[in-house]
Amino acid sequence: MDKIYILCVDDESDVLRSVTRDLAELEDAFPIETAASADEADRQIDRVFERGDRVGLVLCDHVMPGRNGVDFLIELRKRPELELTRKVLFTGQAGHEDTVQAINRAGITHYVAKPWKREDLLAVARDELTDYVIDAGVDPLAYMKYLDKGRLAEHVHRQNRTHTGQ
Amino acid sequence: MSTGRTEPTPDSDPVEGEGGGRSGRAAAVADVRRLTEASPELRDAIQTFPTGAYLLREGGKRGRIYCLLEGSVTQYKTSASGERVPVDVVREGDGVGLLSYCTGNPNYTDAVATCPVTALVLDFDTFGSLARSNPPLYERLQALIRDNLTQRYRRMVELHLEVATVNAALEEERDALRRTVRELEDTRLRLAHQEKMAVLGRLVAGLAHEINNPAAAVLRSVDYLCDAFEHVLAQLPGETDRDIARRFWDSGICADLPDTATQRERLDRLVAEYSHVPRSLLRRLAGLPSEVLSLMPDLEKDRVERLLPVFEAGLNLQTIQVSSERIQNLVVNLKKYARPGTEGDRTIDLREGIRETLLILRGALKRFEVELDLPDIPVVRGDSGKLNQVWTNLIYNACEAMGDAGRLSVRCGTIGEKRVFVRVTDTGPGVPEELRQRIFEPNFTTKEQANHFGLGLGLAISRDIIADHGGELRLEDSAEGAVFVVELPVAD
Repeated sequence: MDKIYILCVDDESDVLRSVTRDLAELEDAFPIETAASADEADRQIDRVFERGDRVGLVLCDHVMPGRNGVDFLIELRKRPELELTRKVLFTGQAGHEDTVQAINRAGITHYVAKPWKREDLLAVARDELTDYVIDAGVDPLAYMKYLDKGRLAEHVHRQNRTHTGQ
Repeated sequence: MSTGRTEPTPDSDPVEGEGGGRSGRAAAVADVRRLTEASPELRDAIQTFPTGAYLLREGGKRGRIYCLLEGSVTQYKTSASGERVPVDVVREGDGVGLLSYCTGNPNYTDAVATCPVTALVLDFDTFGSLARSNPPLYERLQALIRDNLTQRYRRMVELHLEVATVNAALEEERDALRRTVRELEDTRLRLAHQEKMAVLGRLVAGLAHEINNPAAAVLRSVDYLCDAFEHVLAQLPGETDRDIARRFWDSGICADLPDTATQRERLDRLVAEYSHVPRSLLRRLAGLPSEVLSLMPDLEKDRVERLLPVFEAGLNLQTIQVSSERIQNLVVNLKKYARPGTEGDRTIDLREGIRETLLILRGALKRFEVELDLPDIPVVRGDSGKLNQVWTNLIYNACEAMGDAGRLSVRCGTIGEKRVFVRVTDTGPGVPEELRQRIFEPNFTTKEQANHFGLGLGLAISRDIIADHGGELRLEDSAEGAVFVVELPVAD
């Protein structure tokens, strides 16, 4: 079965380390990739697709050397294979303008302010991945343990009904 | 008109010439008085009026004209706004009520005796009949009236000229006032800005102090925690185990975190080798240097569970240590940066302030390539807090101009033996020709929302600060971007 990846992008290795630690309990179902810049993140996305896997969630810092997070996410939108990918921006100092840009043009689905609490970040990631699994039509059974059981069960139930209906 | 004693000419009349005007008029008045007194039917025509008496009331229809023989009369006209304005003073030889006589309209003004007045008073009919009954008197009066009207016309022309002169003076005064108001407004803005910066400085200094204490406490606790942990490790039973645990601890506390590419490589290798081990655990193990990893053959579960936390405890303590050192560093720089301006006059190594500023603006500078060329330069005298304000303005403006990417370069050097320079260059769009003169004006800003440093005063104030230090701040021509140069005199 192809795997659904989580991609974390931040130029500070300490932050990257704490994101991966906070999301560790998801990693056994959703492998995590890390990147220290937008360019490296692009290469990681290519690699994931080359292996026949997919990216379900991108978590990205805003202020980074080189391309910033919002610009990176805006460009991601141009890739059709990432259409359903959930995008989360986190940052300590985005201004109002950046936020508006992020929502209007980069299609981010969630905004996390630094510093975050582990359980909050985990909840956001869980929620976003649940959406991804439902939207992408992936068989949810393997992910029940990690994601929002209630929503996934409801989704399965509805699908079954549709099938029997036909 | 019949010829009298003198022949009137258009330019110089007998009674009101430039030279003998007064005496000519006095003679004419004396003639009028004499001729009137000589006529029995005009015996009552010479009348006296006390001070303040009304000879005419505006709008009234008395049907009389006066020829003043002695004293003076002020004429008042009520303006559109209801104000009673003195418009003319009539003296001996002048007429009152002429306008009404000529036009038949009601009296045009009030006429009030300014002092005791003696006048020849004639109703319109009597005055009209004088032509026949007393031609010499009629002629004298006609001449006086003509002179009077001529005089009034001159007076009107003069008044117009006077009004023009007064208007010009007023206009000039108004311009001066406008300039003063603008200057006051500038001063007010600058003062407000300085006050704001001073408050900000105090706030930052206070905040820095407040942060410093907990940061120091964190750092000290890390030291104690390290000691305590090492003590616990030393208590472990078995010399080999103790040594191994010690190596995990050391590599955690001293770990040099590998970059993302190396980590990925390690993780991929581990994933390939230990496909049965959960990836989240392998990621943690990927942080270990290979010689330490090899101390856990086959990643035996027991050993991993015992030793990995030791490594991670060290790693996390290291992170706390490095991070709180970073906070302390920032605090130290903030304190220096926000040093209150009261210190005033000190010798300053400009490069210190520049470095502090770069550190404070680290977040904003992340997007750009920063090129520094700061060789040894002589010290200058001045106020480091204020100079920091200048560096902040120049560097912050450069960042704003470049948007999302570009190269900021800050250089310093000497010009001869007496001056040093600091040059801040960016790769933004530069300053358009038409704005080059205006950028140093107060309230000039290219920022759409002026919510960053506030008032568009940055360059104006920076220029003032540099001028106060005996230096110069200017914009230099350049092919690309903007180049701002600060020149300052070297300290004696």
